[in-house]
Amino acid sequence: MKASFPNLGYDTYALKTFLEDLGAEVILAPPNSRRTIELGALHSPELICMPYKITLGNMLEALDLGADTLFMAAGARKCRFGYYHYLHERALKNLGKECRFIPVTQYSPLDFVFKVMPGIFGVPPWRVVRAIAKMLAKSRLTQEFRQQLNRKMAIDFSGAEQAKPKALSVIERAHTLREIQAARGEVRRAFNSNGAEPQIRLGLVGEIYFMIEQFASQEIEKELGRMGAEVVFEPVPAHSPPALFGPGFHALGASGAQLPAGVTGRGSDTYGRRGSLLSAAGTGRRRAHLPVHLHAGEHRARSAPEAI
Amino acid sequence: MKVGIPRALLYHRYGRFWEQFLAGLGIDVVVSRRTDKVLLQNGLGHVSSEVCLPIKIMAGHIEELAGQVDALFLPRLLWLEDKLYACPKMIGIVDIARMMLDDRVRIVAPKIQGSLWLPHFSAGMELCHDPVRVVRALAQANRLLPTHAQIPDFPAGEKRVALIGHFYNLGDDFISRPMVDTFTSHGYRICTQDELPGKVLRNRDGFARKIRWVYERELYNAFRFLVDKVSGVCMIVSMGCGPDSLVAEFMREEAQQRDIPFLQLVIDEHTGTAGIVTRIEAFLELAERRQARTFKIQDSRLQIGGQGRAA
Repeated sequence: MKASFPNLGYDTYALKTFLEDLGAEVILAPPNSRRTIELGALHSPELICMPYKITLGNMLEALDLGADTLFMAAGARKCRFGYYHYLHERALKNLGKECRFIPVTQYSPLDFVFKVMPGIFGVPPWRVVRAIAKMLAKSRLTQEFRQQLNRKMAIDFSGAEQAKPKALSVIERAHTLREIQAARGEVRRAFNSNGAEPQIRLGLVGEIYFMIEQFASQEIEKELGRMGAEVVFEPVPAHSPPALFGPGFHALGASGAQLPAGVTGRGSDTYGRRGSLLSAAGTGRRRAHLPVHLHAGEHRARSAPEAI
Repeated sequence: MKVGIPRALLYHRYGRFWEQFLAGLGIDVVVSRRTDKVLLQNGLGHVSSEVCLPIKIMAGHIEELAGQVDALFLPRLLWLEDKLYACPKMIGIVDIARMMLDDRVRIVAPKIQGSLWLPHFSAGMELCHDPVRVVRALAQANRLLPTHAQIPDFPAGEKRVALIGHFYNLGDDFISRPMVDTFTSHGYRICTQDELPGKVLRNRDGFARKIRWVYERELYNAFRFLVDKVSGVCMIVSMGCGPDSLVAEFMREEAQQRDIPFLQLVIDEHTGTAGIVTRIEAFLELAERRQARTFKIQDSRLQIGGQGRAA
């Protein structure tokens, strides 16, 4: 099985580990680019949201590289995201692409471990548990990487850019749980800034896909880092791939939200996080409550972060 | 006490029910005037430019009522039957109103989750403090809830077109007038979901089972029901409507498979009447040509069959 799935920022590596541990050969889609968006938009309904276009572009590019099985998260019900896979599958069929398309909805944990994954990969349930453990560990590692990177970028941008590829390859190479643990120390060392503190800290909240996928958010973390601001994001479980697999994870982020339940797929989640980020970003410093809204879309200019 | 109801969104379905209910409580009901250009223009300044047209219109209505009334009656519909949700913008409209009005006007916003009764009862208690009167008012207003038990007739030989769109778009003359006028002036009868019984609209078979938005399921079921009874399907989508952008794709595909002409009209505040009329006329021409073609094919089949028998 040559498996592939849409890119998911740094968490792509976590998903890759998961599938590899279950015995699949993983073909990563090429990094997101202008071409990805254009390819996706070409075969998408006009009015659909941006993540659909990018993920479809990812799939088409991965199929060109020889992938024969596509995984796609599904099942978040109030958001259009949960319906992507119907349209994806149809779009690929209409384009005459031959592949096995596997939507992964929010199964119950027991079903996921004992039925669904063993059914797809032909492995015993304990292997699935091991793969999930590895994926979670790796997801935590990528989150740590992202935090350290953002911090380093705000203090020493060129240093961070230099250390980034090496740290990423360390993350990619870590296969066992022990290696992943060791990689954590290496990532910290790579981005060590000798106790220097960034001048500005900015909280970043938003729709889950744009929080994870750096290209889709126009690499706003990098742009802000270049300007000397550390971007803080709340490390909640909802913002890592397990949330896409596990049931009920997405509700965890909503604690403290004042909006009524169900404002959007992720609206109350974002609102709740906004509150805790404000308190996190403001510790010991002047509290600057300056919300800036950025809309994402394929026609948006790169210069958007400068609005801040 | 004067209570205002904006003539937008849910008003187009529950308006008469609300008017009767509030009047039954002994309250002066003020309904905002019909949507027009000025009202829309006033609304535009209050909401993000990315929201859909009905929400912009709603903002205009709220602004219009703000100076005239003591309280605003603005129910928040979270979900109806089968735990199907309304769209996020409709859920959030109460918060938008709160932000627009600050504390200038009191907002009475019963939260509808599944059933209409309890939220309306508590909203009535908020306004009137007399449980007997509230219950009586509710019971009186009850008969004004829209219900259709009968499936309408579809006589043969009549020219019909299905107009699929949310009730708050079709119900608002400002939005739907040019479309309705164009169709009727060409002699078409317009079929919408509003005349179909709830049994049809709440159907849970096939893809409808997977739709998690209450009004999208209505649209989809109406489409499924009407598609083989009409000569064309016209869908009205507000620019920026998330659920529509997705469900419309499924409808388009299905219409294509059945070889039924499908027109998707995307509307926003910049849409001009002329453009809509031209597109509808082209669409009707297509529908008529297609019908003529099918008749011709049937004719030739008859002839061939006739010759076969003769030989």
